[in-house]
Amino acid sequence: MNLPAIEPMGDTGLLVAWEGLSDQVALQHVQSLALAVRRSTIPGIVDVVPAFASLTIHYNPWQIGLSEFEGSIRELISRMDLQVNLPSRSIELPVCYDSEFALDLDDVSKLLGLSTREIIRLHSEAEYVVQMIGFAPGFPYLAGLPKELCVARRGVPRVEVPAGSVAIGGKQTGIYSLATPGGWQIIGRTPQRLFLPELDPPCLLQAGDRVRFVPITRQEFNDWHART
Amino acid sequence: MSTIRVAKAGISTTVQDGGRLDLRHLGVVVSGAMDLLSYEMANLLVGNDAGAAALEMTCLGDTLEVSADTLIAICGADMNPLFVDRNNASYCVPQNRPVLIRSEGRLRFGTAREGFRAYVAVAGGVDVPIIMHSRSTYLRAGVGGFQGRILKTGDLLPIGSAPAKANNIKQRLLRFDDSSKSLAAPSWFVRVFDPPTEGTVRLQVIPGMHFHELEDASQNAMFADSFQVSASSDRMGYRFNGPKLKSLSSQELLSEGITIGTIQLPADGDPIMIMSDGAPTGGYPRIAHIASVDLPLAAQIRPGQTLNFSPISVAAAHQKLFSQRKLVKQITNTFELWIDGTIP
Repeated sequence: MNLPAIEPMGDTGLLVAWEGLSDQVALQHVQSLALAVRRSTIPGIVDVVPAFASLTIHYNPWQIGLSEFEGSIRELISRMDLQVNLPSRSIELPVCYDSEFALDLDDVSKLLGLSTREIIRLHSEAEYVVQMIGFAPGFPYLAGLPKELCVARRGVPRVEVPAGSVAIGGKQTGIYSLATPGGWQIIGRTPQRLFLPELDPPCLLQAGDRVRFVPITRQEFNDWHART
Repeated sequence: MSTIRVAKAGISTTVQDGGRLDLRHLGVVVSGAMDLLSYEMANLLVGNDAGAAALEMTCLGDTLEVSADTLIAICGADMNPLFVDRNNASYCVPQNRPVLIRSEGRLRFGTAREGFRAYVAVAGGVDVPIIMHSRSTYLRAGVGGFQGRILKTGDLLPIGSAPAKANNIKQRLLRFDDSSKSLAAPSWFVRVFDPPTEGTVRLQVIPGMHFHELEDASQNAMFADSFQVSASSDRMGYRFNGPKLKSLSSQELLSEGITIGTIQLPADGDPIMIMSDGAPTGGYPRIAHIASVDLPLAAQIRPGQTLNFSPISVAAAHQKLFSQRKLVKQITNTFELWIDGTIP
């Protein structure tokens, strides 16, 4: 069992961080503990924020002191069962890889020495796992990018990336859920909104979800928008 | 339903409440009042429930058109509020206490001369829709608050119906009645902390996970030197200018969940502090976190002001937080006695 480091995050948070684990194993640890904390009866838990290899647990110091809180979390870690099948949803996201949306597809094609068709095939055949939601509301960091598609980020980030842009950067792929600045290479766009403030929960994806991209045509993209 | 009209918008006024503490795992920022203590006091003084939405005015406030019989309270920054009644007679509006506006007129806020953010609570609260469990404005996403944005001249703010307690406060205030006056207010005031005016502000910080990776000189500078709050500071975060801090480690970090008050160190060596609209995750070294007890004070620091940091342990920070809560509780109890008429 790989024991994580536990550090206070100010006076209302606790960070549990693992080191030296592969992406997949780290995800399993983080997800297992997140689930255990959410299911626990430890008082004062405000939010549980999974990241790539860590979990930040926000707590309310009125309800529990640091040492008692830390003790409870350590106990959960010692009893944590990594064999358990984590609840994971499987979600298909439509993506239009049309050149109008795929602002960097030609650049990526040159950088990787792959045809655009091959890039689209590789990107849409893989299955990804949401490692964490961060950066913007509902923005998923997805692990599982085929290694042929690992590519450097743009030299100069864009001031504004259109919402829905599907992008790759380093060994990850993600979807810009809001129009924000961004430096990843944009290879398509999904008509599916990821941030849905009118709903509860307000985001389509959460850490642990499995995601597949389904290529759609420009016409199907328009039809989707017309429907919703 | 009654309304308040924004006759002239300030620089950056938004509708805020306690924010969204429980959606950080979905990348949703907390939002909410920057100075939660002044926000809480303002709501208390008009008899609102703790979660009612109020206005947060930053630097330069608005001019609001209010109708007769409006109960308000102003806490936090002093923006020299004036009430101008129908006959053009103007009155200074006292802060940190309930104020009953008895005739229609204009409530005019100027530039903050003490502190930086003023909270204006109205009995009944600003009744904007609840989105993601809160009425706070999420500016970046353009949702929540009043149409997801900063208030503009001409906006009509819906005000909820006043709770029973607000009516008791109004009755109590009318005992001070001097019928010639447009305002009724008690002579007492409440104050949990003093917003900073000038000089150096001291903020207590809990050293962060990467503090010990700073060079020795930088570790010393963190607590010995002064930092200036840069002009580009806002609700997302503050930038500090001062000694350049250097980390011994050049290892790139992965993004992790951070919190309000987290001080991170980007490569340029100038620390940045995450505030209420800041992202809930970050990937820079975390050198310190503001103790929660000092977050209201941090929210009232004016750009250009200087500050120093002093270290505090988590346990000591909790103790100070409990003392602050105890003071709030005492104020709440005393205020109840005043409403009942038990104390003059």
